[in-house]
Amino acid sequence: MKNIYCKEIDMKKINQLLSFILIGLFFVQAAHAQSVVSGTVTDEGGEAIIGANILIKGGSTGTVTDIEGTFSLEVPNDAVLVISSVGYISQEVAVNGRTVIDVSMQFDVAQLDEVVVVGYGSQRKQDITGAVAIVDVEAMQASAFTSITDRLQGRASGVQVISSGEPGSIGTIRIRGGGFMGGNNDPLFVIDGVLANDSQNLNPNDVESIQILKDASASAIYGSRAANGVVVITTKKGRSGKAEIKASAMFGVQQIPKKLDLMNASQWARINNAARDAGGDARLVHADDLSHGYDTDWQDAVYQSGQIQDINASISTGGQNSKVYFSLNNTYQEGVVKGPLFERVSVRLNSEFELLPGLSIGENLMVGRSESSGEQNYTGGGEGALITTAINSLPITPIYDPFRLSGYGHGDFTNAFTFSPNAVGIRDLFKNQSEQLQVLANAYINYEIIEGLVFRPSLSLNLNNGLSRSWQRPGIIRMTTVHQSGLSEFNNRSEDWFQENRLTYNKSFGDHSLTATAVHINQVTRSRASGIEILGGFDGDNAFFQIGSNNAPSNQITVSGDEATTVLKSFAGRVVYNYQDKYLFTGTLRRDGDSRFASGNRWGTFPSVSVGWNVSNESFFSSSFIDNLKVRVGYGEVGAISIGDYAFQSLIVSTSQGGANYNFGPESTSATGAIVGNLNDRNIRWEVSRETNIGLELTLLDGAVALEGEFFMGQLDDLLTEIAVPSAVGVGSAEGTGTVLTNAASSDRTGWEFSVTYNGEQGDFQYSITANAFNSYITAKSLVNPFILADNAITRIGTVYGQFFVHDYLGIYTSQEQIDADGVTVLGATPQIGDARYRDTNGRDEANNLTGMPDGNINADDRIVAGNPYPDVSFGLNFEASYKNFDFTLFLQGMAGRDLINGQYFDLNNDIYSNFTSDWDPYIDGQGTDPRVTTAQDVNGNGFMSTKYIEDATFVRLKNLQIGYTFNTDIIQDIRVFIGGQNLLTLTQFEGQDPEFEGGDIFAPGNYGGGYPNIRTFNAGLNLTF
Amino acid sequence: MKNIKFKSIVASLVLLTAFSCEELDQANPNQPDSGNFFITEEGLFQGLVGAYDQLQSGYYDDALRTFSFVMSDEATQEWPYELRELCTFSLTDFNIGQGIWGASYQLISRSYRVIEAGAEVSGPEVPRIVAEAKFFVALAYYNLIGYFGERVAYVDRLQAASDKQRPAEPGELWILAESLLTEAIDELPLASGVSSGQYGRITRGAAQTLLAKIHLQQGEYAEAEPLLAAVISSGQYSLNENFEDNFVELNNVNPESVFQVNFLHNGVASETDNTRYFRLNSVAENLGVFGDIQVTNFVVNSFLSENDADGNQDPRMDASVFWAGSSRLYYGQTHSWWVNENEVGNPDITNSIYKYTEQDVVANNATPNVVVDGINGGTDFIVFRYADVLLLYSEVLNALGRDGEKYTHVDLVRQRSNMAPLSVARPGLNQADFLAQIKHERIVELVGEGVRHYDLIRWGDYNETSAANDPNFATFTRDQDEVWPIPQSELDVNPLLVQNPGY
Repeated sequence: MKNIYCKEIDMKKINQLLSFILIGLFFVQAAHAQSVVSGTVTDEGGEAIIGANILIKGGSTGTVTDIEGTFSLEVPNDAVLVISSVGYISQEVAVNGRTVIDVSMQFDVAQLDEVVVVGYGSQRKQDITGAVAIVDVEAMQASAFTSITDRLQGRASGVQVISSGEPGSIGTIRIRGGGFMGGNNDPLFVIDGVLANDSQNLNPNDVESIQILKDASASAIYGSRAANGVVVITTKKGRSGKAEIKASAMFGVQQIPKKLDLMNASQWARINNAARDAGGDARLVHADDLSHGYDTDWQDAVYQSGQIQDINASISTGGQNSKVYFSLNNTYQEGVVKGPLFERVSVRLNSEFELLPGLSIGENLMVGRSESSGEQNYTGGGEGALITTAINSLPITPIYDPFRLSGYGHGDFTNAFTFSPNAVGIRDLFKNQSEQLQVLANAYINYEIIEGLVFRPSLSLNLNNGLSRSWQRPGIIRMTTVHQSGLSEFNNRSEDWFQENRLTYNKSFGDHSLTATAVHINQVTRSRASGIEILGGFDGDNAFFQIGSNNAPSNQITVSGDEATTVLKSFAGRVVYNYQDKYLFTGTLRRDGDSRFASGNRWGTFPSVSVGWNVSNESFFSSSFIDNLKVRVGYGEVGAISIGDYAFQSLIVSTSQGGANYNFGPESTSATGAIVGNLNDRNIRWEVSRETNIGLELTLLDGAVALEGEFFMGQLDDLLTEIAVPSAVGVGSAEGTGTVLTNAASSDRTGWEFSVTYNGEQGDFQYSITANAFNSYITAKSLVNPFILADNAITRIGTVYGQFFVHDYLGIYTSQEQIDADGVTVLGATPQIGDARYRDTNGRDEANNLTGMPDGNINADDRIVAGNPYPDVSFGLNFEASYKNFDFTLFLQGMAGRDLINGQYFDLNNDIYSNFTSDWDPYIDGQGTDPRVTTAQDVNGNGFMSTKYIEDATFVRLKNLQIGYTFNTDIIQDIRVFIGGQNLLTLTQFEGQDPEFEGGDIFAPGNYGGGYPNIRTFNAGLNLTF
Repeated sequence: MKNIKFKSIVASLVLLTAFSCEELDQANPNQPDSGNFFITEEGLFQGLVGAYDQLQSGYYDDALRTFSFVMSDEATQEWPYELRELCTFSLTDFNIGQGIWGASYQLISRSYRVIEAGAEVSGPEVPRIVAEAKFFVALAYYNLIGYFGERVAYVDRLQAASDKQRPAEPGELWILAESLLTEAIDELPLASGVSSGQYGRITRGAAQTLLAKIHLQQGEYAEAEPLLAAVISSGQYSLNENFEDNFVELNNVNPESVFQVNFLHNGVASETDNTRYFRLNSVAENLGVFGDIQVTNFVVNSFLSENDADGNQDPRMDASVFWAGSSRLYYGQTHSWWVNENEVGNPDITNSIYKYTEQDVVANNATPNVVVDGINGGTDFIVFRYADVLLLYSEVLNALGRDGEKYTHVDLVRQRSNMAPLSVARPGLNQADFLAQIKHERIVELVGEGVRHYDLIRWGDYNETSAANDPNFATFTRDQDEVWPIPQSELDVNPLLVQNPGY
């Protein structure tokens, strides 16, 4: 910490300047002939309104109501008071010599949620000129997902979340589709003003509000980290008045929603025998002799039902000058296979104290600890995650086999020819665990220097301490592969420190209203990591899996470690101007300096400007059914950073282990060498998004219907891409040319977002429907090469990234006449009956150029672009209703028009050493509709990826359903009991385990390969309010 | 006003502490920047070790040996794997040479870093370190020209990522290599000047041998003669009494090794590399080894064509190849086991190389049918062996017509292995017959050591005429198959390079 508080010469001047301004402000005080007015401000129901603003019109003097709703103010006798409070319609009252003025305020239905946090301050919703999604947090909290990100799924248009059922996982979140090739496509999370990432240590129940800054004009205040959008989270604050104590508990059971329909032993044996017969190999012993008795359902062997529970308690209270919120959370989740676990304990204390009128201090503190075990992975030679392995395993392999050394059944060359490890063996022998401890804290002072001018310095810390371990017992659970015992352990710690000084000036004069914000931030991140990997050395039955308890040879122990310091210096400003609530303007500018870039490239400027027009506030506008109509346009430039620390440097690699070393002398004494380890581009910089957004907001029928639409278009520029350099340069890999990461590509990104809310009521029956739909299209504008090939995918300039690029499957040949009629060869060989038939689309001329004409041979040139790996539309639909004491929530989410390559299906059915799906019907003895199988190494195209494996992955999923009943008792104010479930129903034609899938690789986004699917949960619980 | 004063004090206090002095200029605490590393003698030596490192993995551990082996008449490959295309001169994969191309230029790059940095560093060892780096540049070009011809990328200094290299002009790289070696020879120590702990570092004899080989590949026998003579007369080298000691792990200084690449003995440690390739090739595929590379019957017949002085089989034979008549076990198994129990690529050829296969290690730890551990091999690989120097010298003297001297050195090699002196067995050979005899001597002495491919080129035999020994040469296309294609992936990123003729 000593560096954080040290002084810097350069800053002294700024310091002096600011002090001077402060001192000058002491003298800005006015005096008039005055009398004292007092009174009470109440709502329509007569309840006191706390904190209502009482202002003298045209002046800067005012006060706020206290806890009883009363106020007292010195005013000139002819003054007019402006009384306002969030959620109420402002009133003007002439004093006219009165000394007591009581005011009754009217609810402003249309603007109950009007003030939203937009980054370094808040704004009235009606003043917003950018694309800002306001999340319905209450609806979101009905979810049993354990992370904030997962609970955001389907809640805001333009925000795509793809979740997984693995305990402790956080879904992939993409705002407007991402598109940054450098790899960082995650939005920035700002939690009570602290820039962070989402984390499993955070308790989603602490969230008070979430605003998502989607377009570049809204997010530009966050400059170099804003290009993937910003999720602005505010946690719950204390409320003045009687302490509100809440407790809630939720319990549930989880299960796998979909088992794949795979072959049993006799079905598998039929195909395997046919393949071995065709290949001239002897049949496997047990495939013929099914009386051997094994018919293992590996999915049943590993799937279990798992528990989930979530327990919360919170206190919200406050006195006249203080507000406190305290909460406690415990979440526990098991996996649908044995092993994966998640447990969180999270505590929050938010408090604020008013020391003097206009001067308050406050803090937000979160301490969270989470522990998780992920899906186990076989690392004994050949990889395999538990669920995928279970699916691939042969039904003729027993789970346990007393004749095997390890006791676990596994493949061999004569009985059950498979390279799959034993899934139950993976579950039992391979373990992993990670622990995270996080402190997210900030402390601030709010000082109103003069009327409207607030100075807010703050200091924040995001401290993360992580420990992850994986270990395994030795054994043989795969073919003849002996895997050793081992342990690897990694520690990391990172500290993000933020010093922020914020000045906000708020002023209305006549028809003009202005809010100006200036911020200066210093951020220092210090991270340190160390690790050790030990192979062997834990071989006894009672081995202690501690790094100090191994007896492995020293050359089987590898250690690693590094540290980094990242410094960011930022200046940001924003001006929000409003004329007569009709014409709106917002301008922001941020300058970021980042130590991750070379000097000369460190500073970047990120501007934005946006304007809005509240058409419905115009005098010429009159409509009986339109309450509010606003159009807005914004433009901004923001950055994304995907590179690590020191990436611009040319670095020396010199390590005694695994380095460029040589051994001299007859005894092989190692000498440590030094080489330049990387090709680097010294000028590497941010990736940049330049985006224009057009938005429309419409409220109809007395606020019953609210519509919001966005259209955006822009470029992603300076995208980081690997450029090949000749090997003769001398650095790179011997396997191919070297590459250097450079800002050299660009994309176009356009899209639309739409949301609608309808609130209705019929007597006691009240309901609301919220729906959103969105899409974005990212197309390659300039690439280093004219096209980029990736797994089954091609990216060409002018098209979307990663279109499927596969052979066009036309069925199988069932007669020699068909083969003769086609007259094509596949890779030069004539097909046989039962082989796959593909369309011949292309060939080459003598100069080896593609002709676009069939050439009688099927090879890689004949691949075609097919299908569409991106949804035409993504959507969410929330329905809430209440009738008397009952409440009901139903939430649907899905995507339409998206295709996926079902790689899971392909892998199963194109590998004679794995199981098959039960619908696979290879051509055997004149029967069958799928390509024939053989163990021979003959040349055929049956294993080509083709249109056969492209499936429509459109889905609608019942993400959440909850029914609650609320009643009162004398002791407990409200008791609500509920039952519900997650992922209860999925409508899709997709044959894979889960259509909810995020490809990860921008150049090959549509290759579905299985994994940990989303899981089904049935839950029940109760909420108590004391 | 009191409140205001209080508030101002609080705010000013905050302001005073508000600015951090952390700078945007952050030094990397993990790795040194390359700009200020090679500025001391120690740093320079570490850079040189980095160049030595390049000799191991991806270069002399398998690739160079394998390619040289299968590209010559010593070996063939019958299964439809990538090497088959090489053996039969029917390449379709124009990136097949990428590994050797990349590794050679890495060696050149690492060496030029030392050469250029060395110009700015002073110290007693600096001239020697720079001379070793110069040797490596010449060695890398010797290898590049051997496989790709003379139109490879011309690099005579450190390159930047944005540099595109032009093709070298014919003869240009030979001149560059010759001048680097000429400079290096004066600065390099004799073998006796290298301490035992530094065994494996480049000696004057190594540089003289390489320069001699470079001259010989250009047909410059007269230029090669004094260099080979200097190596021989230096008194630094001698033949091992036991031929086989050259190919097994012995933890001592080998007087027959003129230049070798060290590998970590008996090691599995990660700090430096192991040798692997021959260790992983047998007659057939089993026990974790491949059966891809087979030794031609021509090699076996060469051994069988002459018995030793006592009328027994050439004692080098079983130490060199594993064949039907071998008295040895291969990974614990007889030759008949390998042929009968397993699938052999070409049933007419059932021979594999035996040199460098580390049977000793397997014998120590293997029980029958235990899979061979691919990485646990550490025999140093001798690139220039003194026997090679002696045979070359006889060849040179023959070419120069120095008939009175030409038997002396080849007989040293023969007599070490109990073969009758050539001067007795075949006295008075004319120049052509003596060369033919040398060709035979080189196959029985040096088979599997990566020299045959260069030999065939030097003798003008690298064409379809070698089909008599290895039928694969029947499909040799002149003016094309003398060299490989420049890797396509290099042409793709460097438009200045020109593809070799015929590709």
